[in-house]
Amino acid sequence: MEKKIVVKITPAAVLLAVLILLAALFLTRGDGRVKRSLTIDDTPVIITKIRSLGELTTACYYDEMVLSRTKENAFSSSALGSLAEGLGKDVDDHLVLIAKGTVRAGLDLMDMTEEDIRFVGDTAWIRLPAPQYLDVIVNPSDFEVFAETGRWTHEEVTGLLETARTRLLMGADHYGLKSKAYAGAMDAVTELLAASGYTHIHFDHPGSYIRMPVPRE
Amino acid sequence: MRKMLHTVFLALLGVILLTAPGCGGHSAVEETVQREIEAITAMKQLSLVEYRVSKIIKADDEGAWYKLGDRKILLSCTAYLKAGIDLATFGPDDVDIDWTGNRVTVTIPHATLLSLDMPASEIREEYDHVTMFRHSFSAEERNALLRQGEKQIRSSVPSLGILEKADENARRFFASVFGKMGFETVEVVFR
Repeated sequence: MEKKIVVKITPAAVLLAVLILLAALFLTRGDGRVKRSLTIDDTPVIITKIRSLGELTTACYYDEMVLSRTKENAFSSSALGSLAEGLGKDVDDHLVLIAKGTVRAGLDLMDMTEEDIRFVGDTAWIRLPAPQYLDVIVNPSDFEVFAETGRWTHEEVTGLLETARTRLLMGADHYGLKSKAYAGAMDAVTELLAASGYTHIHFDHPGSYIRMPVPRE
Repeated sequence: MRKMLHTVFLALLGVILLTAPGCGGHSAVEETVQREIEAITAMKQLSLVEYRVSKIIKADDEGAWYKLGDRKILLSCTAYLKAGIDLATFGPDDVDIDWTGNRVTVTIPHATLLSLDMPASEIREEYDHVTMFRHSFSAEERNALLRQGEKQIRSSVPSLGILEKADENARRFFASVFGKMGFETVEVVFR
């Protein structure tokens, strides 16, 4: 006759088993929660292009902003998620970045031709090129992930950083960075020419600016 | 007994479901931007050369002893480095004119790295492998890796030859400018 083995499952044993399971899940899948430093391999930096420049940067705009993005996930769009939302629980995915950015503005002197510069005696006529934004910079070291829930792909983060670049340019426009850069460029050119002995410097452009430097001693 | 087990199970399920992060639906996205600090500064920098460089950023996370499986990621990026002369310290005393000999000596500082731009739009995630028991790379982790890549690019500047090239271009640039002014001999010296 066969013997029957009877195993008694007590509530305490079940609770213990569940806790062990949760701890195991936390330890094995907890990469995002446990802060550890991950080190990259030392790979070479390859030069792919070299370009000679003649850019005079004379004004710089800095901005720091908080960018946040929220999206629904599989749970929040489910009936249970709606119920949880109804109870005041935030179940959507969130990504919050704090980004610093820089817009550098100035003139591209490579756009100038022989006809744009004339020297007669102690007088110089200069026609400067139009001011432009030379760089819009938001590097990885310029932003930090302040809060992150759910899974955010590289493309989604890039999209948010592109928004930061757009906002930077809007801010630079708002503060008239290009006209400030142009005025700065005129000052820089005036200083250089004054140091070279020119006492009258004329800038030809719509509006016709004239700078009169202090004569050199 | 069965009722008690049922209650414990439901309570745990409720806690897990209500605290679990989502898994990637895309039905609604809301984006906000809040400005914090703004500032404009004047500067005088002459960028004379740009190097476009590329770099592979790779990391293999085998994890701690208690973790099962591993994670690998491979990112590629492009950075634009601009080098040139910071004219903030350049003044009238740096231009020495000998009118009788129609010659000029211009003293300029050595070239430095003026900007490094690593656009997000030119960073690509080429490969990402995460085994079953590991968590995907988070945005924070990817940024930490990219920051290290940026640091490595910055530290490679002395060996790229960009500063020497910018010095060479600066010499040519100032010789050309002062030559156009009519000086027969232009000497460019570095501080």
